[in-house]
Amino acid sequence: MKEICVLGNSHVRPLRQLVEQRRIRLPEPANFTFFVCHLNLLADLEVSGRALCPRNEDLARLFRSSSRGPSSIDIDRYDEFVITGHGFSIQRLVYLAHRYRCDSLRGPRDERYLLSDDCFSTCAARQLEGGQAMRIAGLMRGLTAKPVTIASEPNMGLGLSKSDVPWWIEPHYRAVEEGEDEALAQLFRAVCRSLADAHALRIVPPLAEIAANGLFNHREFCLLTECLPDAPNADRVNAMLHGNSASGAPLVRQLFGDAAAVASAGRE
Amino acid sequence: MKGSPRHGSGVSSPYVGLSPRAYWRSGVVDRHPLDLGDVYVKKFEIRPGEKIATAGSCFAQHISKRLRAQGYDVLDVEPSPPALDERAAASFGFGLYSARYGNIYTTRQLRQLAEECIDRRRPAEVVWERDGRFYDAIRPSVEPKGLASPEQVHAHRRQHLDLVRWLLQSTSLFIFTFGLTETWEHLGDGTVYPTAPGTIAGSFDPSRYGFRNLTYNEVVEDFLAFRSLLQSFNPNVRFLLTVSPVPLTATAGNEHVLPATVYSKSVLRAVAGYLAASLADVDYFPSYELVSGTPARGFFYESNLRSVTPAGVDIVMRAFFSQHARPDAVVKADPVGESAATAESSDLLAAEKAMQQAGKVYCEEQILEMFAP
Repeated sequence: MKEICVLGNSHVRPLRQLVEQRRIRLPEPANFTFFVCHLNLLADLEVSGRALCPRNEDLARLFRSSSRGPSSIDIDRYDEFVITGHGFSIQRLVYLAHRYRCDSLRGPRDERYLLSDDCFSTCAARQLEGGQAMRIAGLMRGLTAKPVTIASEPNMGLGLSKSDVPWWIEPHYRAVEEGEDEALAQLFRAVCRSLADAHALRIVPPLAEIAANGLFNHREFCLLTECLPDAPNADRVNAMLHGNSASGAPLVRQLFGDAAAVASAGRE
Repeated sequence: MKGSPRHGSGVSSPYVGLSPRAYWRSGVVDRHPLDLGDVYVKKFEIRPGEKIATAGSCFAQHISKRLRAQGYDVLDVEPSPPALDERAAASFGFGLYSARYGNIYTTRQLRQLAEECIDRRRPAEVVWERDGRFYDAIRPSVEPKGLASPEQVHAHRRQHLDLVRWLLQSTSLFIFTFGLTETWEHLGDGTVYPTAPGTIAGSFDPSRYGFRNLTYNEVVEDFLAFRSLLQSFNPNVRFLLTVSPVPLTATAGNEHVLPATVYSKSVLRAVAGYLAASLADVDYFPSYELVSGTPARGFFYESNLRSVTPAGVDIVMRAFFSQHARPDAVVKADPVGESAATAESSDLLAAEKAMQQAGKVYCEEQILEMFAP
């Protein structure tokens, strides 16, 4: 039995649902163990011996709860590691593009300083390297040569108008309006490849097959589909940021290869 | 009675009664080489709020860093994106000087940059190619991998020139480190380049490019032209000159590199001395003497007898700050970081050493070593 460790935040939900519903069919039998916490708590995860251990009881409790047992990630117990979300997101590039242009970004100049694509990508890579997902992946890689994969946070879902979203999401809308979304997606994919090569990881960027454009997924792949029409706006914004169960199958194929299959709902 | 003193039994000489700094024995031999005392006496104050611009050969990078660390307002019109660490930023030309012009080795390069900023000259050839990538020939090191097209090079250069123009309008103290007299120029319009074609990018074609070793008169003329141009729109700007103690990596002048170096540095030192002696708005700071002078006994060079050691930079900047100490100085151990300490000398030295160890000077000229047998 292959043991797969999944360390995630709220973006782990589509994958976890499929696992709990026993709908994932991998080429070899696999057992998933989830360690789930909010991104803000992940800074308290450190190496101790050959394990990643929480430094505080809050994180330990969350890990015990989500893993249904262990509060630490014993590196030797697993054959493969997957980190979902935890700040690894194309948002970094969108915010960077708010202040800087690069040669691939052909939108209006505004007051943005022009960088080369190389410099822009280096900035994005450095930001991502400074994030928790890359930090944890680095800790894992320091302990083992087993496969470590980072699944990027999904792109936001379409469905809310620009006037309904908070200021920090607006740059995504502006990038689409200015025709820079596809270029940003391409740059992000290139950054993912370079980080993966540099750190001996696998990095799965946002899924092209569910994308409506470079920065947004089709609405049917985000949690807005599960939002009640009269839900508060804050809930709707939160829903647009997260993938729904329909986004799980393409994610599984990206994570575990084309041989991985997801049984349709209702066959349980 | 200086100038006509009576000495002993009626002997008079203008050398009697001078300050100890005026005599080799008391000014040099009897002093510890790390403390030559008032080897530098400032001509003018660096005023509070002075907007400092820095440029020059690679040694000038040390001056920029140390001034910033001392809390001086060193302008940076092309600041690094915050995501880049110091090393990555430097590899793209950020944080080395007050703009991303890379090393400006010659006064001619400085003059031409200023002229280009105000549309007084348009270089005939700005783009060099290498392996399908395109480089700004006048600052080839700021994009290590080059750009995808000549049009991109022009777009980046236009932005750079706009910001350098703003820098030249804004600065009140321009610190320039003279580096070289040897340069390569475009034979068509005289544009000089910081590197020979074919070194970082481009290819050498003797019918297109020629070697030039600037003379004393040419260096003076170039600097005065730059000064006049700058003061035409920024009349109160002043200048602080210094000469890099870093020898030539190689000479193209058909002579041994040692006399070639001495010629180059001698011309630059003489020009700087002439300008400082002649012009009230120009001061000279003796970096060159402190590192390469006989009191140092070569101690301040690395084993390649070219790179200046951290101790060499320390002694230079200590002499500078002995005259330009800021009473309100806040020393930043990391110029781009958050930590800060008060300017106690031990803290200052520790901070400077840490910066030295972390820092690296980016010098295109050093690439010439690759061509040595």
